Amino acid sequence: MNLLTIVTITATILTLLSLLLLIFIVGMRVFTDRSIDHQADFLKRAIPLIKAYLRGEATFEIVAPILLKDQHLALLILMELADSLDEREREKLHPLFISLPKFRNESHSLKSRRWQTRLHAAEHLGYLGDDAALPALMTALRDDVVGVRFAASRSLVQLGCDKAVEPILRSLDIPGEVSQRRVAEIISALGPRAIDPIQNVMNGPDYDDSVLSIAARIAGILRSEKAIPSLRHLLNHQVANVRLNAVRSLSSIGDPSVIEDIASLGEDPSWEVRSTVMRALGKLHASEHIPLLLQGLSDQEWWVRHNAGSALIAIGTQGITALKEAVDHHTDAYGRDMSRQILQQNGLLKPISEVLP
Amino acid sequence: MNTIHILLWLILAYYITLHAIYLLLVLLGATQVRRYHRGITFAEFRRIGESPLSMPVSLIIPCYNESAIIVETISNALRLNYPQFEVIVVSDGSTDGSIDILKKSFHLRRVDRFGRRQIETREIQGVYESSDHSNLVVIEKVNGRRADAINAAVTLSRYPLLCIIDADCVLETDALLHMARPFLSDVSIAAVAGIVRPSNGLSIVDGEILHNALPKTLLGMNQEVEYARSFQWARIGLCRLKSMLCISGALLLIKKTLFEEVGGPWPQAITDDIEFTMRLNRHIHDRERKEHARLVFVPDAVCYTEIPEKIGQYASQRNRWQRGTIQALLRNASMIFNPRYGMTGLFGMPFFVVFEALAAIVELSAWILMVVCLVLGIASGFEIIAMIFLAYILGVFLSLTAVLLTESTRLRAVNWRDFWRLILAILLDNLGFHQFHLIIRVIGTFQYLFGRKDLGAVMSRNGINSSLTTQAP
Repeated sequence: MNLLTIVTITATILTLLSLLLLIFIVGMRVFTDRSIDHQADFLKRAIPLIKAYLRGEATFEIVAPILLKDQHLALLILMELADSLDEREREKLHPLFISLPKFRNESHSLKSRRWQTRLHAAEHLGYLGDDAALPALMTALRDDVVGVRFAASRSLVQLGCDKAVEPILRSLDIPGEVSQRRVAEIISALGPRAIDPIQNVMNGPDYDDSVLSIAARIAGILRSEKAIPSLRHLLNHQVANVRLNAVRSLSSIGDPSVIEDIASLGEDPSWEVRSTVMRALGKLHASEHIPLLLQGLSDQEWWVRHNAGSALIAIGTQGITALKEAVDHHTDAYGRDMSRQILQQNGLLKPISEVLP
Repeated sequence: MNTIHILLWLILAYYITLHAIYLLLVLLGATQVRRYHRGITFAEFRRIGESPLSMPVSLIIPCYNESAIIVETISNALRLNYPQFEVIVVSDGSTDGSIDILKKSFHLRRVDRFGRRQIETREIQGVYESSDHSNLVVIEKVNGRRADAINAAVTLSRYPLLCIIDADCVLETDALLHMARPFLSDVSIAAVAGIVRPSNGLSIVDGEILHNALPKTLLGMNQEVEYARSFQWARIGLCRLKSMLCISGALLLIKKTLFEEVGGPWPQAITDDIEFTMRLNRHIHDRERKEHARLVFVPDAVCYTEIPEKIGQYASQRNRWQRGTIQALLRNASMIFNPRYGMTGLFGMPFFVVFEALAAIVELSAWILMVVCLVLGIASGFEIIAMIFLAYILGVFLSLTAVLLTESTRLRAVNWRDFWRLILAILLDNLGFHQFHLIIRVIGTFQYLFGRKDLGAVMSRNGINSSLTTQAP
């Protein structure tokens, strides 16, 4: 076959394909436009009706048939509304959730081979589910895909299952600060119900460092005074991240009796711990530890110096006076620089360029 | 078969291979986007936006003589929906009064701020903080090119994630939320790139995007098609193959630790974003490095950037891009066909050399060859027209595929008029515009080889577009 024949045949085929493609794109555009219009109409109709149902002005029999017209969109609207309501109000939506036939077998969908199906099923069960869904969600905590485990955890918490705290912590024991933050956030949504299980973990003998770190963090988020003894104990843990989270949580709880324990970590080998200690001392207004904070201004790590300076500001008049003195008299150049920077950031000192003639 | 016929066969094979690979990349990109969307759970972005535990971001905006647009860019950045972020603007030796405008617009006051100096930069002349916005910092420094300005900002940044954008960029309000999401679900994520689209048709009021439309000129429309085809869909495909060797400087979110490990962008680079991306790939895909890291492309984080709509500015920009591409490739040439860098070395780098850096030379040679064939009577007029038409229809088909995919997303043309203008631009693209582009790139190649390393003419700004209205912040 010669060059010209190949070129001609290829060009002809591509021309036809391009034309077909263009027709298809136009058709798709028309379809998408209609779909957008349909969604807008559905939202306009369904949202006021559901709100009326919540106020008791519309019955289930009126609302449910409307929702059946677009079950996927209806589910999204219901989830959106559920998130904006308190627990009692949310209960009222449950009959509407379970009236959507497409989502009645979500517990079964958790066994799907497609991870996306499992992911969405795990998420939906937080809204659609009841106690019967708990075993399936607990099993989903062992899913191979982290995202599915996260979604199952969130749903278990949404369903108020405090028994799931320990399994969630074990299931999401994945490395990394960010993952730990997410887990802490999920479990802390349980509120005071999470405190006892968290205490059990902090006092338990066989938990990984990361699990302990998260537990300590949750205690701080929930500001649980009950957790203070356990957190104090964790200040001596061999892993820096556990100590750091214990310091952070103790300062969040805000009990001044822990100041000495926190200050004892002022020279911790980990700069992250030292940095958190400085911040905690500021938060707790630990004026008796101003010398330690002044020492922190000359730490080799920038964040420690910065947090020490900010802590002095947070302490108030005594701290600010000490910081102003440090601008000229601190023995370390870094300490003087940081003092000046922090005072300027807080509008308490003019920059050198403005002071010099 | 004579030499010219062999060359024609080779060029035909090159053309078809190039377009076939691009088509595969675009389709691969489409599967990635579908997978991405199916993996997003309800209210995921809202949770990131509401969580005080989301990773804070330092948003860096380097600028040089951008007084016409910088206030709008900063206003837009300050409006972003993200729980904790700071905006660091670096005036890199601007001589157009940018600093005075910023001082006035944002009530800046000078401070003595000292950061963790990891990367050496040109002298910082002043640091300013805003009385109105506690998360705005402005740095005034001696000119040292965009890369040096970014490095200076990193020195004073406070947060673990760095988002780098250009001074003419407008981000969608939720862009940071979308870009931060991968970092929350996968600890191995090193950097995230997003979609960059032309801003020339946008209506923006007080930093907020009110209306999305396409550029008004044909040159702008051609670039719109090009951005969708090459910078959007194909790059998602390349990313899947660990071969995304160019993350636009207009939108990048990266871990600060990794940024410092790589050493920041190279101040001598003609296009610092391409060179930095290659070095970043070299660093994270090095099999001798123990830590596993990934680059990802987020298809719903969108940044709009001003594209040139005057032919001279367009030529200058593309000339610079071509020279920058060659410089970056030569600087990282040891990665080419090097199994140490896995897929990046074995596919990404060779692909970039053959189908990006050399594409213009091969394509222009093909055009010249066809003229020679015609003049010497080696090929008939019909044969030449058939060849030209094949080149034309290959481009049209590929662009239509990109439009098809874009139409399936929220970035579709907002109305039928824009849609048909887009189709018209595709049909006209290969009738002179593309060939002009090739000539510019070939000139750029030779200029680089003969020692031209400057950044070319600075693009004059129109203030994003004529419909822009900005109120005092």
